[in-house]
Amino acid sequence: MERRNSGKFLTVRYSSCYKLFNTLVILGFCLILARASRLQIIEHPLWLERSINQTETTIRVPTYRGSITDRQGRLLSYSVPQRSLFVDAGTVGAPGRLASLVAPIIDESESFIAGKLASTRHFVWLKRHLNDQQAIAIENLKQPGVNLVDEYKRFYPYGQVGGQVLGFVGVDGAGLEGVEKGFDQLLRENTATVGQLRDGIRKCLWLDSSPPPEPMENFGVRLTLDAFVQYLAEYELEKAVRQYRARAGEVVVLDPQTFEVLAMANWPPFDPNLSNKSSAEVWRNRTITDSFEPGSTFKIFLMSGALEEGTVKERDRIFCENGKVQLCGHTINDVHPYGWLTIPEVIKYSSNIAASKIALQLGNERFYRYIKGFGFGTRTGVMLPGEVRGLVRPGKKWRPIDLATTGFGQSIGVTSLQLTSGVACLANGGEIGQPTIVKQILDGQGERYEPLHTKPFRRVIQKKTAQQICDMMTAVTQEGGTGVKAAPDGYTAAGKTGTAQVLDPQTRRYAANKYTSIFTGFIPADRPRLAISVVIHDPHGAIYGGVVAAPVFRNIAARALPYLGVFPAAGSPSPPPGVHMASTPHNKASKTAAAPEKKSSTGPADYHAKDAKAPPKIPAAPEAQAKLQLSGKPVTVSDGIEAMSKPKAKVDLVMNRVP
Amino acid sequence: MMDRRLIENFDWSIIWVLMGIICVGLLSIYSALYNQIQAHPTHNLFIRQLVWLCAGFTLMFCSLLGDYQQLKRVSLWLYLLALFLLIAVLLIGKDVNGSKRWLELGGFQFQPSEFMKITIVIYLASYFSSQEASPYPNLKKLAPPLLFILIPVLVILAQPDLGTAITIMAISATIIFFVGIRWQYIISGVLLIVPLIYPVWEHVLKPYQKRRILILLRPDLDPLGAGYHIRQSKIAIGSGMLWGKGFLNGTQNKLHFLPEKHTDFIFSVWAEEWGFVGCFVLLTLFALLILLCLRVARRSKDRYGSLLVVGMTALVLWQVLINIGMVIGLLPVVGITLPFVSYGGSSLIALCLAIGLIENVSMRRYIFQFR
Repeated sequence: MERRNSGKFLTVRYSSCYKLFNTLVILGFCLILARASRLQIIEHPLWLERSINQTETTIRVPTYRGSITDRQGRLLSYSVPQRSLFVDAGTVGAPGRLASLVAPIIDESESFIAGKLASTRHFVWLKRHLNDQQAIAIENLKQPGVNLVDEYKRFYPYGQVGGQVLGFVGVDGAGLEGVEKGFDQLLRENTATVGQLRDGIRKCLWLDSSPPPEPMENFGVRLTLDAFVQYLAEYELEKAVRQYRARAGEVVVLDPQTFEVLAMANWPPFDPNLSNKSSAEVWRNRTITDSFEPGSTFKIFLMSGALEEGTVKERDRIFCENGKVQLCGHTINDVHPYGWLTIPEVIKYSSNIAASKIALQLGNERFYRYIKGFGFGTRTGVMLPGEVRGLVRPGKKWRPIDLATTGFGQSIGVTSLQLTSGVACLANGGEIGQPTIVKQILDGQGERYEPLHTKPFRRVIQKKTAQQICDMMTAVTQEGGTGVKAAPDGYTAAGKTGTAQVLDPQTRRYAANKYTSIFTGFIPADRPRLAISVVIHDPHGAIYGGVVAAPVFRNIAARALPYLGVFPAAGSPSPPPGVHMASTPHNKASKTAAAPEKKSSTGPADYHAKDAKAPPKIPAAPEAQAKLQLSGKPVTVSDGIEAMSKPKAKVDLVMNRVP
Repeated sequence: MMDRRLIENFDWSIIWVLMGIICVGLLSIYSALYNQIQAHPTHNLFIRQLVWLCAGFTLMFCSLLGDYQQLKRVSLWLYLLALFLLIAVLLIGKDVNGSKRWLELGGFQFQPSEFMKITIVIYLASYFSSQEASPYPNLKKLAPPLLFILIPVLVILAQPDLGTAITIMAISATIIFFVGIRWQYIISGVLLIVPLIYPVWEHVLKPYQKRRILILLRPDLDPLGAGYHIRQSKIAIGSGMLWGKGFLNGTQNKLHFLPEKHTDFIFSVWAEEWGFVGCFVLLTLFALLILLCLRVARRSKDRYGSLLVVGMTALVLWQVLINIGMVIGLLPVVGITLPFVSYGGSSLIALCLAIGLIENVSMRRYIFQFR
């Protein structure tokens, strides 16, 4: 038997003690909960902020110069780490011995090095941008006072392609010309600020997933340029310049719908890799820095203004005085004498006399307004350094003869970019945009960072007027026109030839036998994809724009259009030379892969699909054939560097930076 | 040996709540020691805590076997043994961070002050339930236990270990409060202590202790020095917000901003990763444990059992309140661990024994009479 505990010790006081204690316990816990809720719910932003402030810090990471790519993302310019050699001349032990050790490695004379070592300074460059074999050999010397430092060297894998557009970088990393200069603020080596976790003893925390940052690539730019079209333009320009022994030449290719510059070719060529051996004469981007008289090509802008203002109608006829007329005390000639010409025929046959008459009818003020409207006399704002305005005097100051000659493109100076932009405006239905060379700013990972903002499109002439001019320009490249040679098979081109006399700067008179041959136009005429201007200065053998410049236009268009996906009309006799038609992309690829050798034997004029992606071959420097030139830091080298010197030695080389 | 009755009266709810608390503890310790666990998967404090836990539960089971009444007889001897060990610590103890708290015994470390807490409860319970002590004891009856409390407190203060000394005083005060104490004594005690506050502040407290108290009043004082612990703890708790940062995601913990994170400041680790919800759960579990234990005390068979349970409960309660109060910025920083949650072998074993004794009292709350 059992008896339940009666709890005789449980006096009234004792039980109230329990109750009190229970209450105190609950109160205590409630107090703590209240405090916790204050910290965690009411005041939480404060504590969260304090937590973030102490766990996150910012560190500065060096960035090296950003890359420049073309519109397809092909790398046109980028930086590779290369080591440079300097000595602390004060701590070098035996200068004579050191000079004899170092000299053969870096290909300098012993006396040159000894001279440098004679200095007492603590920092003397011996040679900058060593290749990796040299750097490893120097490291292996293990001489006191001889030090290597990482530097970045600018490398242009496409060589001269787009050289003047890209510009170049000085040895200390500052952009000196072209895009390298224009976007130097953005591209240049700098330091970036990066957020970083930090631990309780204020040390930065490097995890496997987030190791210490390596030097990063700075912002890059993606150009609107297309390396293939650029190469095409340069190639065709070179061919024409060589054929006619011209002094210089320029080609600008513009997309008339977006006013993006697809190519800017200059002759003479410039390879930024060899900038230290070049001069301003070659690295200047003539398409924006040089202005010339546009000659007869300017008639289309005159005609645009005249038609828009209604001073002439399309059906009007103009008497061309049979090739010679006295106007305002000057004699104006036509190349071929004409009688009565309709307005389209004035463009087609390019009559200076008719143009003068139309200009005089239009008048100073109105013509000047249209000249400015088409963008002449103002910088296009293409974001490249060194752009000039061109030479357009205010309309009020024109004498009547100035007005007359401006009608056919004399006493006015334009750049080839301005000319192309003006033609693109006509191709675009009378709306002009701002030509752009840079499509996007890219961040270090090559991701789109921000697009560039350009001025909005601006209407210059009505669409109807633009269409009338386009029809006239189409007639130029058709049977009987001055620019027949500009039309490639299977396409309809629209354009205007020009042959401008060149003003001799000394005599202030037109030189007798110096001309500028010009062709400017767009293609296809009905749905323009390309606006191209070809300017060839001082050709010999032939001078007319329709002879010298028009074939360049044709050849560029014939190859660039299929590349852009615009194929020749069905029923055209044959595809343009060098263009291999393929029914499917797959077929195309296999075809080019199968017979690349055969195609290349027909000469560099032959392109296949592969060329569009791969950089054109840069002629190797003579030394390059004897030595293996490498850049980047090798990570692992099997069999050591010695093995590379043996004939037919097989070396596996793993590079940590693949361009 | 185990009677059916005994098993029937075993209070399972205490064990379930305790399991909940231990789970919270293991999760927190795992997180607090995560870096160490990653570095040494087989050899770390988390594994050791698991081993201690097994040992603790074994001891808890063993403590159920005998009748708690038998402890009455050996209570003085247990007390003297614990006191002897405490003095031994002072002489041959291991010096860690300027204080001697641990004794090396056969390869593992052991903290006698934790056992002092238990033995003093056993001793006080048996003393106040004996025939000579009646409720509301006079000063003559109160003197021996006060002396028995004061000696270990002074020894522990000499280690120095202020936290444990405070705990022992708080436990003893709770038992005496339950026994019953005359109002005159309380008032005279207060009157005695008040004039002592100033000299103690000026001469006894060390500068760092004074600063820790001042920090309570002005939390943003000296955030990198004396205020560092409490500021980091508050940042951890506050940035946990309502739902917490998630298991193993506490940055205060992982990035070593929290000091003593697996021992004294384990609550911050829990609060950072599980938020207010986690705090609420843990505090509810503790409150439940305390209330369930107090229910055992009230239902127990005799005064001795009741006082024993009250003492053991107070042992858990005061540590919880002081620890969390300190971590959350209500009390000055003292070294007191959170029962069943903080890492610590001796503490865990002592607490398991305490719970075992509470269960022992619960199981034997009926008087058996055999005919």
